[in-house]
Amino acid sequence: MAKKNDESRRNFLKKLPFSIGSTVALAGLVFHEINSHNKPRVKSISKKEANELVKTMNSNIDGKLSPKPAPNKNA
Amino acid sequence: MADMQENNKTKQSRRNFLKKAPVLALGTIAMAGCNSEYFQQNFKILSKEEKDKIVKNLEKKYSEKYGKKFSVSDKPAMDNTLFAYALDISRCVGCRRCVYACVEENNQSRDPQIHWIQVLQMNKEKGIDFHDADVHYNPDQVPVEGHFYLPTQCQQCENPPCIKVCPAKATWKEPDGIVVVDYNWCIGCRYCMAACPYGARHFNWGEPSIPNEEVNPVTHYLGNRPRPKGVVEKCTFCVQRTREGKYPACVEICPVGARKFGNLLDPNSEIRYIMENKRVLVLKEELNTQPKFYYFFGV
Repeated sequence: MAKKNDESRRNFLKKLPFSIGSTVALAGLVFHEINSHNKPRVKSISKKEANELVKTMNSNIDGKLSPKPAPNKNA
Repeated sequence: MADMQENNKTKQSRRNFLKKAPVLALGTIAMAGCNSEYFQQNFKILSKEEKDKIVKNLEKKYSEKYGKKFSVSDKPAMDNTLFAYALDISRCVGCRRCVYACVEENNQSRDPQIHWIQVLQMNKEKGIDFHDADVHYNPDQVPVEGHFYLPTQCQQCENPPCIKVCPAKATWKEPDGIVVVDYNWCIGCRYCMAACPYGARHFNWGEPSIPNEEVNPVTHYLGNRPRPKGVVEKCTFCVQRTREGKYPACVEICPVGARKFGNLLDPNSEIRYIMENKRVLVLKEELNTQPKFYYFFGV
């Protein structure tokens, strides 16, 4: 009986760090979620999709402008 | 005999001390007369009184140098503020007005030239390709057929690699999300420039030159105050303006309204509307730098 108890205690102690670790991680996730609830979620676009959009986009600006001078070559 | 030796030793040591005394005295006088900037601590750990004293000294120094009354603010970040920027690629025509508004507002050196904003001209067929981008384009009129424009500047990353590599902790992220540099604390090692994947940091190789009549006297300690030679500088989302509730200079000047700016934590802000209703592109997303500079397509 005592041997069985020892075995079970050993098993419990073996698993203890993992239990603590997962509890801390879960608490961290919950904390992060609570803190970030005010920030909007970013709906990002891939570079491939952006390149497709670039090809098809139509600038709605009429007319043209004179650009300001280009930077120096050594700048 | 032993007594005489002891006496000699004492005399010798006194003579040595007296020899060194004038040097020590001169050193002490020089130290006292030295500018207090050399003994300044990192801006982050300064007390309110120390900051006030430094700011006053800087105001005096700049006013004497440029012949104008300078104000140097040390206003901290506002509560519940996280600044972000959005740029409509389909609207930008590449006129570079933002570049020069930024130069004037932020007291960037004219010679050697420093530009915090760079406008890249890219080929529509090739898409977003930094190797093929042209920063020195110079046509009579823009936009040029078959091309589009991608302005780049500091992306104010949430996870900025530049601050991790600074050995002096002279650069950090403020609570409102702006990455700043303490120019008095920067040692000019340029590690941050190497770490930045966007090429957004610039080094003052020479003494920056700003014409007296063009210098902007309304400054912030962590922003647009004139920088010394040998330090790194970058876009600060015009911290001297945005912390006073104004738009950055580049947003105000843009003739086509391609630039949007606001507080991400304000549900009624324009930037928040864009984030919630548009799909946005961030540069080099795979690096997990989490930029707060979003590109989008309005049309």
